[in-house]
Amino acid sequence: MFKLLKYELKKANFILVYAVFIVIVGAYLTAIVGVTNLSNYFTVGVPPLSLVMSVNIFTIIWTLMLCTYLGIELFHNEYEQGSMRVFFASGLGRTRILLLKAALLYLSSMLMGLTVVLSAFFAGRPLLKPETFWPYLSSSAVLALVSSSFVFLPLAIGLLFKRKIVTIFSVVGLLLVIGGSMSVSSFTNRPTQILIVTLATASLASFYAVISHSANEDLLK
Amino acid sequence: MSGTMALSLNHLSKRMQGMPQIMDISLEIQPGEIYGLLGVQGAGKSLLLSMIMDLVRPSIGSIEIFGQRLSPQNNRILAHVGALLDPPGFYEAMSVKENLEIQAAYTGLHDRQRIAEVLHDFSLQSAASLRVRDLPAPTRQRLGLARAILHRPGLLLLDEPFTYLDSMSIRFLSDLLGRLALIHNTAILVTGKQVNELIRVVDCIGILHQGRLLRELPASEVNERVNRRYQIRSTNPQTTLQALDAAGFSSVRLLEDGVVEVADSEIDADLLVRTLADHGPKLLGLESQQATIEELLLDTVAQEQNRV
Repeated sequence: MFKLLKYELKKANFILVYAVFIVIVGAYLTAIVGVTNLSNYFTVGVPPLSLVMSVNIFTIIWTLMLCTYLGIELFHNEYEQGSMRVFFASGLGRTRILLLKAALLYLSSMLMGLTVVLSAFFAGRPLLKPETFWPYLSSSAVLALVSSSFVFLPLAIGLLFKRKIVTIFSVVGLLLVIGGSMSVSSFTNRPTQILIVTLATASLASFYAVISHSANEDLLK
Repeated sequence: MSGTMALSLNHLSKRMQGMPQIMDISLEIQPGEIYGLLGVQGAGKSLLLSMIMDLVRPSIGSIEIFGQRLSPQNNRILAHVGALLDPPGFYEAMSVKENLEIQAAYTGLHDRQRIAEVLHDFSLQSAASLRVRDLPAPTRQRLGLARAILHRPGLLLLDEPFTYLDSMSIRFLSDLLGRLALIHNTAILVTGKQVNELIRVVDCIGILHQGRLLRELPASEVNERVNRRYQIRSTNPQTTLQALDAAGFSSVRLLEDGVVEVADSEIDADLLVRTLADHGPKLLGLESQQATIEELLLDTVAQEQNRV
């Protein structure tokens, strides 16, 4: 099983994707620190919490985008190239194979979520007072954990229609909903919490439904 | 697994979008047997192979591989099956060697030496580190074949394996299939539209047309029957044609150069000569020609259509 995981990571260029993620988040954090220092220098007084919250939104957006790429590589491309047929015909069991891929995608998303928490820690600690910092960090951790499943909703819709473009447009729609909601309120806001948790549940449930469907459908190509 | 059939299809049927695609196919392949499945484009050959690989589920009927009934809950037996499907389905961005390594991982093969062995056998050493997307069609085909036999399967399914291969590779593959069947007791189901090369190695040929298995013939019988084709030159080709028609010969046709050809696979040579002598015009020549196996296919299909 570990060998299969290794090849799945290799197929999806996971190391490259994660390296890109780290570079993007790192660059954004550097920019945040730069802006904060500049605002202090000019005594403009940008609210630190807004800046640090923007790290969360920024990293969630990038997590979703990069995990969509991984999802397309792990699912769509394998169906399109016919290599999924070879995988399914190996006797490992279709449901098992699809769940393995889904677990890998979820773990990748969690890893990126962990990066969100780490970036929130590094960005928030020097900028926030302790009484603001710890509640912020814990809410970031919950957000990261819950939002790790977001990628499954657009992927489920795309796989149902067997079109990459549907997945991509669904991601754009989801980003607009999440980004829009979080830019006008923080995660500690009750309606946003309900939205996020509902989306996460819908994502996992819809993806499982698609896996069950795919495990039983005829695969001609 | 000894004593059981390598593959057994029992009244297999498949309907797709309300249309019958595979109709009541039953066949059996023993370990060590090479079965050639002959059919034109769209006959259902690839679909049948996909059904055996559990990629397409039958509407009616069952599939048994080495005595185990294939089902979504019981498909571990597929680890003993090797297949070259169309399209082969490679990981295009990965190298030739990595594609073989992945197949080894899928099928639980831990013998790394085996990968080097098939790379050598299929002359793929120099392409081992190349990405699959950069390979020419013949090399891709050889990779597909190498991948199919990598884990030493007991049952091998090959969908038109001779496509894209040069004559050297065709000869090599024919010999390889013979060796696999003879030495390793591998059961092989191979499909094709042009299986003249295969006739040297197959034990049995099944003719598939519009989703139905029209006929199964042992290779010896195919060899014997497929080659019967007579070309008749006479002073009046039209009269010859009519005489043969009246005598009940099927598949009689007038060629462009005035030669009348009888290509019935079950032709009775004595009756032909008697008919021509009694009812035909003056004979200028009568020669027996070698027919191709494709003509056997067309002949069988024509007979089937006449019967319907």
